[in-house]
Amino acid sequence: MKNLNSHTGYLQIDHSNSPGIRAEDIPVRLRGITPIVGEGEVKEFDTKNCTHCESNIVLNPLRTRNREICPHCHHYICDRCYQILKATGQCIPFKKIVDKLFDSVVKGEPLIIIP
Amino acid sequence: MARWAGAVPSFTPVAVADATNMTDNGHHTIQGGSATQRGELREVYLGGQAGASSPTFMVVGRTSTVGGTLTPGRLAALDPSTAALGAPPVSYAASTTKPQRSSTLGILLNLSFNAFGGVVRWVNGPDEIISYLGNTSSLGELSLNCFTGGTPGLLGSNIIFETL
Repeated sequence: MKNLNSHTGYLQIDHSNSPGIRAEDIPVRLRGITPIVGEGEVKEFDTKNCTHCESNIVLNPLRTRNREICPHCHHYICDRCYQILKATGQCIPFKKIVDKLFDSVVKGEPLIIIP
Repeated sequence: MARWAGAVPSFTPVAVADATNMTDNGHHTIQGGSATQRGELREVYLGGQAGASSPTFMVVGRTSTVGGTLTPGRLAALDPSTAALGAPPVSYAASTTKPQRSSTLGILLNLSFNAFGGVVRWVNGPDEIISYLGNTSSLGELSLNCFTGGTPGLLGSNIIFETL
């Protein structure tokens, strides 16, 4: 039976013949979202994407707090989009933006995309 | 519809900050072929070709300024029977107006690795979609580019995507 953990994406980082990446090499803004794969290591990760902004998230198997789910579109969303959802109460999945764009085309309205 | 592969066989990415012009031949970007075209990423592959240790912080994301007057790069349909599109998407690395990575939507996928012997491959899940829409900012491009930091090294990139 399909659940939210089904059908993940796949990320492989192969440093089997490489010095790899050390934690101290990682720029500050990418810390916490960059998988650390050291010298001689090959790692594979499941990825999910946020249905609101389409960011891809490498699932951290050690995460203990809840992974946020949008109650409206019933899909994982990233922590940033969850904060927006909490503040505005609006679920705006990317597919909705696509629908609006094609509606605009059919109606001959100007194309204004504000993600 | 049809799957396409855009490739840059060998280039040294140039690290740029958000909302800053990218450098020609220092990024690999896919732009939609028309105002309503939609496409979805299927796979991104990076193969390191550097001759010395090069922590390279590659990211895939949207651009807040899209490229203009593009110099089309390598783009091929995977299926030989694919019908030619009236407005094909463009895979490019050089343009007159340079693309700029969005400060909010610029990191949709983090593909950091060491380009000295490292290999990265990302494949989308069936419901895990990164897509472009149209050919204008901020949704009309998906750019593979280098985040500031590290020592970007020579690599080859291949992006497989599907136009819808």
